[in-house]
Amino acid sequence: MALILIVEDHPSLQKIYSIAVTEAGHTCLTAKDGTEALRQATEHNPDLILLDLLMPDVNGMEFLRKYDTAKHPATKVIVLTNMDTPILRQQLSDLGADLYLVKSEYTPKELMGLIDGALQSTPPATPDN
Amino acid sequence: MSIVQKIILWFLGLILVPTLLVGGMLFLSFNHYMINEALNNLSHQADVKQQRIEDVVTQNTTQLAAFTNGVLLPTTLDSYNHTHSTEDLALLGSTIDAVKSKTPEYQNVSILNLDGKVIVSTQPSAVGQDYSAKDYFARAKVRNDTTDYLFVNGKGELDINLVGPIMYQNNPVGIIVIDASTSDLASIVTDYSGLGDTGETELAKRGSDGNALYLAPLRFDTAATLQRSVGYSKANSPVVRAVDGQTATLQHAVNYQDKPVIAITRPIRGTNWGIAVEIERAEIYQPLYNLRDTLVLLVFVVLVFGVFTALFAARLITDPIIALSIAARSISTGDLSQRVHQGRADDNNEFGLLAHTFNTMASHLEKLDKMKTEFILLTSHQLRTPATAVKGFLSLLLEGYAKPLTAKQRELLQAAYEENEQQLRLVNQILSIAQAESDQIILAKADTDLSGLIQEIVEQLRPIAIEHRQIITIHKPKGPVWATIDREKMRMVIENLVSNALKYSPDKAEITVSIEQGSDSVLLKVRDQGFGIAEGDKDQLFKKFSRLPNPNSVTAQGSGLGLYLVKILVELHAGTVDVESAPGKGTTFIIKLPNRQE
Repeated sequence: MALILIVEDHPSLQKIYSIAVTEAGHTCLTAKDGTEALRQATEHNPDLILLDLLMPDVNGMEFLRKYDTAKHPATKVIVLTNMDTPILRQQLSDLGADLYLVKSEYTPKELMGLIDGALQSTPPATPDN
Repeated sequence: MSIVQKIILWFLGLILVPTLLVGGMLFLSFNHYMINEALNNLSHQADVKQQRIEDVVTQNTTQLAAFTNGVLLPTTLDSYNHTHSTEDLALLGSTIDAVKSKTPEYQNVSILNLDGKVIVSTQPSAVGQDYSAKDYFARAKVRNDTTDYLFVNGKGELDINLVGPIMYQNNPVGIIVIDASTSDLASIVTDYSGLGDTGETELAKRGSDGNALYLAPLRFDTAATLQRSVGYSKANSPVVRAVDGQTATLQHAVNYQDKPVIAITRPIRGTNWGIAVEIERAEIYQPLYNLRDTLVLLVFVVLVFGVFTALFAARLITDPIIALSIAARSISTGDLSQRVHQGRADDNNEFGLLAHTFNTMASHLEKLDKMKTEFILLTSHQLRTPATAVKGFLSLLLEGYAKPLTAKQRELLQAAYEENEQQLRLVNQILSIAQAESDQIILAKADTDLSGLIQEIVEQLRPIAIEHRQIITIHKPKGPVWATIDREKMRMVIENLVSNALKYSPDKAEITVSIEQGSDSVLLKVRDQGFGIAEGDKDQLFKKFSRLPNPNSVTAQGSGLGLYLVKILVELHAGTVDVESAPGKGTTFIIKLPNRQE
């Protein structure tokens, strides 16, 4: 029963993740760009953030910089994107992301499994699919 | 033929042709000049000698006539014939003594009666001898002769008999015989000045059969006088032509030594004698041969010089061309960073311009290539998004989110899901290839249990196998098989090989995946029971877009990128991939990976 913030600009994907999260018994918030995400995050202090990278205006990486995970140690951040380069992975890890997942590899069910795993663990885990 | 070789040939031709032409012309004109000079010289000499010999003959003839048609001798002889007086005899004797002493050439003077008996002579032993058998006797009774009767005297020299009838009141009353030496003739003939080391004058008289009998010593046969003759049949003998009365210029004669000579022939007019003034061709041609040798050396030097110059000149052109083609080849094999060095500050020449243009083009290509890669990367990522959404929606439906599904609904939705997964796989392949080709793949290597990974993949693909009643068997050791690999990339590799094996094998076939840990490498094999690959097709197998026909399916499946990607990814891991196959005998793909680093 956690509060999950879904940051995703693509409407279909936003819908899918919302359904998955809600079906799993959690509450969800949504944002479609970095600015909205910052507002939601600071206002509601979610337990977990699902973060897309490619967004208009303020993108995922900029959000993470401004958000400053150091200030929110209890919040897990899962980067959920279709961009996939080792450089990006490294950069986002440095910025405090707990997981880096490639969207196209997971069904909603599998995603929820990973989210539950992240919520339950305290140290960051590497995906072991 | 290479450009350098062509340039050398042209250059040589350019240099050699005029050199040879000029040299040849020089040679020919020198040759012509030499010969003409020699012939002129000989001709002059011949004229002089002819004149002098004729003078000698004329002198003899004139003098003889003075005696035979004079006053004193005929009168005295006629008187003696009638009287046989001792006074007449004494007068005859003193007359001939006077004749002899006046002319140093006269060795002896004799007077014969008409029967041939010597009446009086400056040689006392001759008096009373019968000379009627002498060769000149018959002729001497009727006419003067100064050139036909020659003999070699006791000293080995040539003498002439000047003979003729002594006429008194138009009747012969006796014969005079003068034995004259021919030393003046010999001295004319043996004067070799102006005739070099091999030239000479041959003096001969015509024999009854047309042959030429020498009347004077030859330069290289001093005993030739009256001893040596040249046969009439020797047409190219100058002396034969001379005694034949010809005034000729012979450029290709052969002398008595069988040596080639040039010769001028002259008759001695009023006689049946002739002279040939000659000189050996070899002597004339010697300077010419020297010139020829010098010219040959010159041509050789020119040749060598020409080759080196041509080589140098050719290099000026071919060096930049080669540099350019090396750079171009690098670019053609994918290294777009190659540039051509523009050479010593010489930007304004043709190659500077070419190099500059080439470099600009290469930079442009590099930029385009980067743009292409960026484009592929960006669009591939973007292509994933709608496919991800479809995956999500179908997945929700399949998990019963909307409502439990009927079997038919499930079937159709599952099929749609599978197709979408295929699309995602394809995008992933394109992405990986684009990254690999632009060297952007950095493997996220970690110690992985390959055995476990294989298990996972096989389980994933087993539903597909079951559809065609195919079996996948795994051969593995008991424990884990470790290797340092990028899990996701290796997953793509194994997935590709196993799904290919399933696709290209008939129904009920068995596919075997085996893994073993060797001493220095890990061996992974995927064997199928498909229809095998021909020897000739093996090279093409790992190339981009290469697809072999598959009799198992009606439609062409696969993008032709799978094996290409497999090869790239395995090689990025410092591994190798090989295929063993024969038509009808199935195929085995063998991947060798380095052992885990300790």
